Amino acid sequence: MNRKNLFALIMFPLLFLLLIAYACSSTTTTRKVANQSPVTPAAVSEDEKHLDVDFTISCLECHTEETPEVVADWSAGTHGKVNVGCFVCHGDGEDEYYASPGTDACLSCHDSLATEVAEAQTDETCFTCHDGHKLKFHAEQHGGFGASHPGWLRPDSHIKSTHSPQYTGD
Amino acid sequence: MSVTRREFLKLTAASAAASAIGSELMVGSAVMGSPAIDWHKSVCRFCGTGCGVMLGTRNGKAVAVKGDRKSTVNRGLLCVKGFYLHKIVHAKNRLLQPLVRKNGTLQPASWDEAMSLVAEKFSAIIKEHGPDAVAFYGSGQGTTEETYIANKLFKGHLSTNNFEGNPRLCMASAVGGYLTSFGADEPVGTYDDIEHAELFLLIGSNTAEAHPVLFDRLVARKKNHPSTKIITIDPRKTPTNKIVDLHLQVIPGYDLAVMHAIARILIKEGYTDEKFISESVTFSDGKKKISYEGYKRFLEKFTPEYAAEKAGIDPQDIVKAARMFGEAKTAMSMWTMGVNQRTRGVWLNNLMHNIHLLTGKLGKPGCDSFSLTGQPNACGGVREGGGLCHLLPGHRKVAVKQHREEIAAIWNVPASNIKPKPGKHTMAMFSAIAAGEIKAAYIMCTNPAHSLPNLNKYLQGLKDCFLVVADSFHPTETTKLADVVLPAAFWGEKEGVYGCTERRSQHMAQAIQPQGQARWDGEILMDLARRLGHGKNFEHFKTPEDVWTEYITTTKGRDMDLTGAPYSRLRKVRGLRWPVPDEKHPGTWHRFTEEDPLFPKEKAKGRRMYFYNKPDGRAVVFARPDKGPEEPVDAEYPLVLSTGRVLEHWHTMTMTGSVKQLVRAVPQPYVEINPEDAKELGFADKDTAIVETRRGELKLMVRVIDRPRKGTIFIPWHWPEKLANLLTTDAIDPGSKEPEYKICAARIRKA
Repeated sequence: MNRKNLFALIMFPLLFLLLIAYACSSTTTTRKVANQSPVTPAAVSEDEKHLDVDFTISCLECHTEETPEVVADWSAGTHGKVNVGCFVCHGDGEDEYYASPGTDACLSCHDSLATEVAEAQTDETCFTCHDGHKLKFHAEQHGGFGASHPGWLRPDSHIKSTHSPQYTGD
Repeated sequence: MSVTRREFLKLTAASAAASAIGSELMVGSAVMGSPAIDWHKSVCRFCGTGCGVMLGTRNGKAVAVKGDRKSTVNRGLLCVKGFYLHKIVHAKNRLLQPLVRKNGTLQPASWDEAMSLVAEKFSAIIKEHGPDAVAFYGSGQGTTEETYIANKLFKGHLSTNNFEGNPRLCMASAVGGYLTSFGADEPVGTYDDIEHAELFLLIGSNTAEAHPVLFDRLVARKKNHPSTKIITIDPRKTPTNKIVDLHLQVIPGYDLAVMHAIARILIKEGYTDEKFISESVTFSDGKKKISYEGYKRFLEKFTPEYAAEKAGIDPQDIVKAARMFGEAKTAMSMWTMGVNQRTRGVWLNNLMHNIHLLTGKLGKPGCDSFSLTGQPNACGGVREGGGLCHLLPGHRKVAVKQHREEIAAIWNVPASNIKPKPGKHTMAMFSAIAAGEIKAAYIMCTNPAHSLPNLNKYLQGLKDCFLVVADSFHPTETTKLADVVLPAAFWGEKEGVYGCTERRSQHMAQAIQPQGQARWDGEILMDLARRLGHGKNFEHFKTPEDVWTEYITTTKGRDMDLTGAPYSRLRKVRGLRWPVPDEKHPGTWHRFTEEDPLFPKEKAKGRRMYFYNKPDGRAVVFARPDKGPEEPVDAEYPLVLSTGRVLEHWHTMTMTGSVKQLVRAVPQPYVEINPEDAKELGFADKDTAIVETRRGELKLMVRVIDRPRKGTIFIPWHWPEKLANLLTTDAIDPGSKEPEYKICAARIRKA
């Protein structure tokens, strides 16, 4: 059985549910699709496990084919350059899967930002400001920082400092 | 209904993303900031970079890892392997009780039963066949304290120099290079040079995958100083190429000619530092001293065209590389297994040092010829600790009477206990095991039944001898063959010191108790010493600190002086780079210069560098022949096979194989074939192929990819179910005794 067949077989029931959800949505924005989705918690849980996967190939191999734009964004960013793979933020897809990762994984390497994170408003994560793949600020991608991003305007904001570790050799 | 996988992925991703926003973040989003977590300062368990990590524990369990932002090595960054260390501590394949082979199978046993058997067998074999019928094989992953105890027991008390460690298989050629060129092992500079270098020459190093955090430092250097240039000499395009300006994609085994050609251009075009050469350099053909003029004559043969033809590259690229190196004010070379795992590994190391000596790009900020290490404590425990068959602690040699006497005095044994003749180096040791001359072996913290080259030749011997394996994991290819398997405490469950690539010794705290019945390797070895009647000289070792305290007395006054680095200091600081002769000393950036506390100003007489371990204080530029590989390709085996690594796995996968995320990243072994070769041979991506060499064959999935050079194939060696080392050659460098893992002749056919 080839990869695609296997994939279709495993995912058919869930696919069906989601297609209904998709069909029910009256607009095309992804946020609305999901918000209006009648998907049950159980289905979400399965969904979050990302079981729709051929586990004999790597995340990157599959996504290069399936979501090339996401892979291109990641490759262009620092994480792509230094090969911090999909699984670091998103999990292995089987035991754990985070479609929308929080801040903990970031802090494993960017611990110097722990204070900023602790002081951040509770609904803020790194990805409130950063695109998860390019790592650029969302606002920057849309032509500059907007006043709608209070986070970066805070006087103690980390944006004033640099994320990259400074090797001074002391 | 037709929905492609792609559309579907998009749908599911959108749905999951939305459902997660503002609700449940990553598991334990409370983990990193939680006050319930105790953080312990440690060092990464993987490669030789020596990244500082903080191990987070809660209720006696390892629950998180973060980079140590106070570490100057990694400034808080982790690579994807170090990221999962806490998961490995509690991995399913941890061995939690001793195992003893009974009726052909390994069965649980008590510590007393297992250790009695080990002591009884070792005693009987030594009594009947002499001490050289037993052997110890250790690791660049054990702590310095563990290697020290083992060394003291085997060389000092059992009186055998059959004492080796796996750094023989990875670093021995670098040691040979440093000793012959500079007179002393380990690099002149440190990582700090990275932030001062204008040019990097990477050779035989896939830095992005094998030393990811150092690669990140290169990326950062280039980002902050866009004029920084990076050259790589490697038969394979690797992820390192993402930041490379010039790639010399050489035929494996023919890079010696290229290095000579670069040296020739450096001289011809006036890039040399003649003052430095006249003050601090001498020339040799390997047998005798030669003149600078004689060296120039030797180089005449190595025109860019000659080297380019040998190496299968464009001569203009050699000229470009030489000019880039010459023009840069500062330059740093880095290399690892592609240079070391060669039958002419020492020579190639010499040639790397040559270009730095000729241009004076050494011993000053941003300039160094810098060998990268593969294991976290190969430099510390094995090279400095004397964990090889010809060495004693503190960069000493068994063959030197004074060295034996000095160590015997510290070990409280008669000097005659330490034998003057070096024992059997790694490949000779496993050959002697295969031949039945060595009848019992104690293997600690390593997996030779997976990692030795040409495995078919050595596996039966390992089965037949009395094999004791102390490891934290089971099964491994080696524990499967053992008669006794002893559960060793893992990283985080024991205290100790690791010494990394840049001469930095770093303390690791014990964060949790050993799991199950696991014990510290030092404790296991001292139990064996007691049972063999040698307990007395180990009685004062109550803690790892006691062992370290004795160990650093062996370094006093040596080139690797660690006197100023007791536990009390190491616990506080992020490591110290030797020589560090007293507790006020900050450690040393550039050896053999005025920064070095051992620099003999009077002898140096104004010279910038004085190589004090050489009789005349001069480093040696070597005129070495450009010898090719031991097993060149031929009509029968027309392809070059090279083995190597992927970022997400490490060595024999006993650790990374237990982390699902890492397994996910590279789920299967494979053989890489260049698209042109694939077309000629009729292979498509994901076909199954049989790779054959003169030593064995292996069935593997084909990966058609523009990474290996045409005419070469590449296999990552991590997977136990597909042992690449059934294929590799066990031909060794006559100087370093390191095998040529990187090059052998192969052929490939459809399965």
